[in-house]
Amino acid sequence: MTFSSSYSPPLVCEVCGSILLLPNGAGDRTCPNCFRDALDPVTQGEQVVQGTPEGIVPFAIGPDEALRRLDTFTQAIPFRPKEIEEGALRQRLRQTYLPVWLVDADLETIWKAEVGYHYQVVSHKEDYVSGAWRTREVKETRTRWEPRVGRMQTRIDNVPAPALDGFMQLMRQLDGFDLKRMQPFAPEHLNGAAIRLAARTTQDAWVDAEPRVQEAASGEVQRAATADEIRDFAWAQPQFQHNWTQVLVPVYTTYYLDDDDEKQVLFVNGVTGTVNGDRRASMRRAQPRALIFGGIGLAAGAISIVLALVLLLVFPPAALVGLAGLAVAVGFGVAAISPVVRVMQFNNRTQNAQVWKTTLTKTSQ
Amino acid sequence: MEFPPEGYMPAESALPNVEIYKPIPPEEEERPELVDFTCPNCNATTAYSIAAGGLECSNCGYYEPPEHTAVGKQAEEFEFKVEVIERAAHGWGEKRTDLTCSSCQAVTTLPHGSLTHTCPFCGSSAVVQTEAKQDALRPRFLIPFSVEEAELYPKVEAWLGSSWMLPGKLQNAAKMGLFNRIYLPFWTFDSRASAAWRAEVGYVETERYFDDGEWKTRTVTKWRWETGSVQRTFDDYLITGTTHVTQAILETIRDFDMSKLVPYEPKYLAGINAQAYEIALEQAWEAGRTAMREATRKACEQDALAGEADKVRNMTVTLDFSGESWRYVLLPVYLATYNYNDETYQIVVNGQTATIGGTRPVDWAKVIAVSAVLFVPAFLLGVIGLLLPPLLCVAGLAFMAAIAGVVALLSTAWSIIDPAREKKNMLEGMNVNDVFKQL
Repeated sequence: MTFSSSYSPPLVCEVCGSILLLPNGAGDRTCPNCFRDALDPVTQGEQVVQGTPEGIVPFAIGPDEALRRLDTFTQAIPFRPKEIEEGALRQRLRQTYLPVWLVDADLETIWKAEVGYHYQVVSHKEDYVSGAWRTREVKETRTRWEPRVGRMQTRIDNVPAPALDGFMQLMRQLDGFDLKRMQPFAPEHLNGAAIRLAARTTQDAWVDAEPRVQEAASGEVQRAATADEIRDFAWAQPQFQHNWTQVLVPVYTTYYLDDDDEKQVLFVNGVTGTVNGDRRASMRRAQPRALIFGGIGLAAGAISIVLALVLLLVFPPAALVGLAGLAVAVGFGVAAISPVVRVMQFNNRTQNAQVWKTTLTKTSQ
Repeated sequence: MEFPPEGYMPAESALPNVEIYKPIPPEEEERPELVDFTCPNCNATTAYSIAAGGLECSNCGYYEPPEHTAVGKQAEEFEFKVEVIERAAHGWGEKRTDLTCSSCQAVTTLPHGSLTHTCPFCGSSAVVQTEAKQDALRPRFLIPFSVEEAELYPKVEAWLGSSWMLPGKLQNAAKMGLFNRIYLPFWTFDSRASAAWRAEVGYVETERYFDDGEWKTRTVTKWRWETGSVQRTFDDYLITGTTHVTQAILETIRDFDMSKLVPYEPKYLAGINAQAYEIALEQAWEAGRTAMREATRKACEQDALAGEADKVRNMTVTLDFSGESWRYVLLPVYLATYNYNDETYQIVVNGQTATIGGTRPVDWAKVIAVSAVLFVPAFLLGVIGLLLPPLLCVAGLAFMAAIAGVVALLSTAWSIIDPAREKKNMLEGMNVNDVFKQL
């Protein structure tokens, strides 16, 4: 597969399994998906899905805008890793095109469904307060469901289907790529970006595309029946004629190192600027503050105890000053714990958030 | 595969490439807009026969059964949406005559050609006949008459003599008019009421305390805020659609068996009077809701008092109605008026169960005589008590007992006479809102 003579032959990442093309002379020879230095030429034993892109959605935002979005995204991290503060994201920012299949389906089928029509009913809510009733009239929207059957002959265009494992999840997390901006593929659009090659065949992709085609058909039936809702749409023996197109969509990737020196990859939608990825707070940065507050607290506590004991012997009522000092020491103790707890809570919360990197690594390994 | 499947018909599609089929609706009966009750054998006029339960010709014996069997509680209910009301059938489905009473303003619809010239509500003959309007909402269900008129007279006679407070021989002296069979309009309402309450609930406790050098006991109420929830389901809650028989009288005859509801057919009205609703759906539902929310509030109070609680105060209730639905039905009633001492009284009989309600005169002379009988011993004991102070206490008790007895007597008499006062209001033209207040 040759996009242009200015690109390398297909390379495979031995860590995440990505198959990709890098521009000749690219300084950074790491994988733009996992940023590991583990790219090897594809051997004959490794299967590469054939197909040349026919369309491309060019980058709509520049690197500066992507970095601004990344900065906003990482601002939410308490005790951001030092690397982010030092501008590591800017240095490591890579442009990559990801492949996606688009299927146009000529469909002929018999279908059945229940179509729903909205109507409003008047209901009442009553409040009994201070011995009197107050009535509020409320309008509720209900749905009248009616069975329908039918036959349709239609064409459903540009249904996206993943050419990479886990791609649809990434697409959702990055708010989708505006396929209306798609242009016919031309190597000039690549502009030195890395290119991921498809990992799934059109047969594999159809498994994901078929429910979307059905959803589109269901929407068409809803419009035909001028219904407000539709449910239980099913078709019988649908006849399809597919036309597959491969399209490249743009993402920026970059990473930062967390406390365990793990690379946390961040993705930026090259069209909308939406960012997704793992956000990890740095315990290393939280600890100094905790130690400072803890030290002050301990010192204040020790001084307060000594002061209280001395004052107790000299002038007992003044021992209260020592007690006040102890209270201040406890305050510093609480302030010492707070950064650690905040980091732990943030990391626990974000650990549960699903990001593409996790899924991709799992499916690829 | 067969397409389209059996039982489906083409439906409109907004897109040319999508064919749509919908289920064929149940066959609408092709009924002429107005039904003529003429016997197909002898051309005489047919009428609904209670005994036969269908249309019968008294001339040649021709019989025609109703087309539908009882649907009872399965009778379709309607949600509170405007479209349903707009789509609902209107009119009586047969040619009828409106009879407007100049005395009580009641409008009754009669079979076309009826020779009746007496108002079934007040017995007045000052009536005007006009052709019945066909624009009112058509009733969808009714309960047919199942009590024959002949069964009523002995029962009514017994009812007129059922209390010693009534004038003696009222059953003989009352000049009974004929019973009028009439279908009265009713609304039935279904609803679920979900209420959440919050109130101060009081627990009465006895406690010991030390005061003035000794231990004493006293009763105290300990209040605490509590919350709870109550769900109530109302099924076929009846609200009258007429203003010419008061809800108070209709309450006494409301023991209709709703499982005997049948779909409306004009033949059930053949030869029988009927009244279209005078209280519109919205007004009736407001009355129904008022009754339902009060019942729910009482249920909340009972819920708060469940367990060991003794008192409730400062209760607030938030109530949501849901699943509200309604039906417009006709229910069978016999109406009759009778005269006694130049006064007109009304009798209402449930045409399904023969339960009787209505107005009756009270013989005040009897009531006063009995009251006097109760007071005389008390008065004598009082005099003796004044003369012999040790018996003063007994005399006081006897006096109080006499007062209690008289109050009970007056209360009973009032329950008989009260509907009569309502009737007087009715004859003067009753305000619909007053009917609701009585609820």
